[in-house]
Amino acid sequence: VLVTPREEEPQIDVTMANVFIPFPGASAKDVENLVATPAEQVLARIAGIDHVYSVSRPGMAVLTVQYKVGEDGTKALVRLYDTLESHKDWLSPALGVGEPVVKPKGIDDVPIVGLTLWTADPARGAFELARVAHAMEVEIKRVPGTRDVTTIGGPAHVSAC
Amino acid sequence: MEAERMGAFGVTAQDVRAALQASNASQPAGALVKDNREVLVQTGAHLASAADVKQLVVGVQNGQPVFVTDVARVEDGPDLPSNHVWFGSGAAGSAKTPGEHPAVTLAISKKPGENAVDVAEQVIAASNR
Repeated sequence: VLVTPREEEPQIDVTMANVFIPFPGASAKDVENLVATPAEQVLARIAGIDHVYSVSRPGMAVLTVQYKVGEDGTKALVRLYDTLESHKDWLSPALGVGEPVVKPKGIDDVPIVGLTLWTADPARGAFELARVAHAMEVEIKRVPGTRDVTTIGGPAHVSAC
Repeated sequence: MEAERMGAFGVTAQDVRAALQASNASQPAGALVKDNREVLVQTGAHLASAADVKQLVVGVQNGQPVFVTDVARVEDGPDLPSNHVWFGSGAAGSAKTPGEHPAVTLAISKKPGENAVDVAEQVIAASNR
């Protein structure tokens, strides 16, 4: 039997990216007025875009750029980086708005396997399970073809004072 | 941090922050060659536990050092979780473990162009090892 490697039938490009723009110390209202709304306008100039959304929260603007279905993913991201790079001077550097971070999201970021570890032992909780899961992450990452191995749930280890 | 004890010892939050930052740093300091062997030398060490943090000196009062443990409570352990996973079985489930139990989920994605079935089967095989 001939096996053709493909992910969907037909193969389609669904490209979106989150752009995080930090603005430390600013209120959600200031973030919206000074960063999120102008950034929406800047990003909306990109060809092949379906929607631009934004979420403003204290200290951070999160913009979601959604391309039309079928836009080539790599080319779409080049246009996004190009737009952000060429508009670096859109705000005064003295304002304190930080460098944007682009996190592209695609079909390959969707998990294909979910493994849930649980325990009925009342002496152990999510913290202990998370430590086991982190140890397993390393082992699973050795499987060829895996992309991201992440643990959901379970608190991190900290020293607090 | 306890504001009253900090006030009594004359220590500010900035002092604590500076002490933590200065102590949690390490850098290479060159190499030592002896007996035809090279030993890499490093200065400083990273803070590894609550015990390390507790004994940091954050200030001096009346010629006596003030330790972090004098002005703050230091605890080692789990952070506040930002997401939770629970595992439970319903009426038709196993009677041995009724109710809901704490859980964590490992989410595994695949590289573009890889066969999802093959990767998933290998992942499951690796997790059973």
